[in-house]
Amino acid sequence: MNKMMKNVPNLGIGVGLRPAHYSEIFVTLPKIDWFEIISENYMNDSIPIQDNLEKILAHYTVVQHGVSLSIGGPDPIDFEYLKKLKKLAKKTKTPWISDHLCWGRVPGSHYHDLLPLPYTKKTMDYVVERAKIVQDFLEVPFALENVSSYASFKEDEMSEWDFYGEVIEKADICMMLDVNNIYVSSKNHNFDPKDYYKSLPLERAIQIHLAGHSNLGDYLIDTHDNYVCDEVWDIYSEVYPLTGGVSTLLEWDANFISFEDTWKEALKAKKFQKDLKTCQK
Amino acid sequence: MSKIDPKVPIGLYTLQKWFGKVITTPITNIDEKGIPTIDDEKYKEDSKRLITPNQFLSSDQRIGIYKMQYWLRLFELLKEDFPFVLRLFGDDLFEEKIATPYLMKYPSDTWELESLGEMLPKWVEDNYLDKTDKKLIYYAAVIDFAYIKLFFAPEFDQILNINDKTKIYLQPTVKLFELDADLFSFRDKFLEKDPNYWLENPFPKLSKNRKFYTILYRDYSKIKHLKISKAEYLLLKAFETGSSLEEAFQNFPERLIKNANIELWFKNWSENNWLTNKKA
Repeated sequence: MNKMMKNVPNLGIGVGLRPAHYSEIFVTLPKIDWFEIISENYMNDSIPIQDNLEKILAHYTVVQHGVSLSIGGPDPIDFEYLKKLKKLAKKTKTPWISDHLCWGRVPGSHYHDLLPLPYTKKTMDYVVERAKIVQDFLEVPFALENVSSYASFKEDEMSEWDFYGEVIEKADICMMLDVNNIYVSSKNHNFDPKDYYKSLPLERAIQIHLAGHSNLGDYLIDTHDNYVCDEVWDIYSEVYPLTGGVSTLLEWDANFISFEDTWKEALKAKKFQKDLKTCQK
Repeated sequence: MSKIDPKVPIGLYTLQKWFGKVITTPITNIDEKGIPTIDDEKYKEDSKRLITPNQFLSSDQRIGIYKMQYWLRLFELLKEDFPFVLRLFGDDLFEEKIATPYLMKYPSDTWELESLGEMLPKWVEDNYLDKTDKKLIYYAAVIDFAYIKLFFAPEFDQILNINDKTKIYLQPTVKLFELDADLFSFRDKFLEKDPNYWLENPFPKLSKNRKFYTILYRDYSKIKHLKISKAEYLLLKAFETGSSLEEAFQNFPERLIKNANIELWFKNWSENNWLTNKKA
């Protein structure tokens, strides 16, 4: 297993850093374990943006999470993007960098979305090779996150979890498991969430994402604008001990509530971590 | 970037190109489940062939969710970046008359979201047909995008010692405007109200029929505007492309600066960090 993975710390419980909460955070300096930033929002020379980041870095551990890598995209790996990502990593001292197992652009068009891949052997080999290149380039542990999806392809040759698990193992990278995404996809594709996580190489998990979603009746959308639902907490309570205890983070991206309430929602995770303590005893 | 990864499976690339075309086709109808329809018969047939339906949603409804997400996300981003243009049209018309045709002509080609609206002024200039308000829409787009551009601009070291031959430049966080109407005050009034307010209410009064000289600049994290005199404008304009004092004053109309306290101007400009000796 990737040597870098062994030194990945459990940072505790964090929240996704969003500008809507800056003023509250800067005034109260909450005793939160860590923040996750969207890397792309800080990969620029804007002084106000960099100043805000520096204020955060002065008090907190920050982890970088990206949305634009397009690891399964058809265009060549964007090394200019990776250089900027790495430059930011030097500043943040992020203990790992994550992005999504998806694609988001074709040459000439960027869709600003996390689009689904067909789960085929050929796609897997392609993604594995690119993930290895990214890991080598970044020089900090690199993790891929499972995405929520609303469509699957007729050409699929395997389940999402088999595809995800194999990509992670073959590329020798880390896993960033989003348990809300498991739930959203389980409803949209009619599978049992247990089937998803029971066969994953969870020893490679270094972080768990939690979030809320929108239930539109016949389908769910991963909107990050709501509290974490009970079913997702159930998945978290089962997955967390299986990972051996990894950093956990709540994402909240729209219909913002106060930072204090967002943090309270994230802290609920503690209640579901007790199983691990029982196991460890 | 127009190349493809030489190792991409051709089937994957073909699927992705098709997927991208389907989701970027403009929304024309929404079905009973709130999902945009796939109207093109060819795309509909392709959906059936490529996308697995489930017990609730057909193949084209499933890809339709991605189409919905694509347009909603980009509409939202453009509305955030162009609040003045948005208020000139209101939500629905902005999406229909501006955002949709703009994104069709200039789809995003970078991960940098702040560049999404970069070509909107040009699009208005080239493609917006209604001559009665074209000039207003154009300048609204120019001004809105200037706010974005200045917020993300780098800032160079402040110029400390200036002599006659020192090459002076404007900071990238500064932009000058010479307008036939007081559009910055007009914009401020528009932004006081919700996007659809101006659909049912008379527009605020617009001062016009003379020149308005304005400097837009970044003051820490805020973008501010300030009216300046024609002489200040012309002098600062000379620095926009780089100029020494000697060069700037060489052909400067003397009557404009006859009673001006130029030393005080420079003091203010320096205090506001508008000048640098580095070319952007």
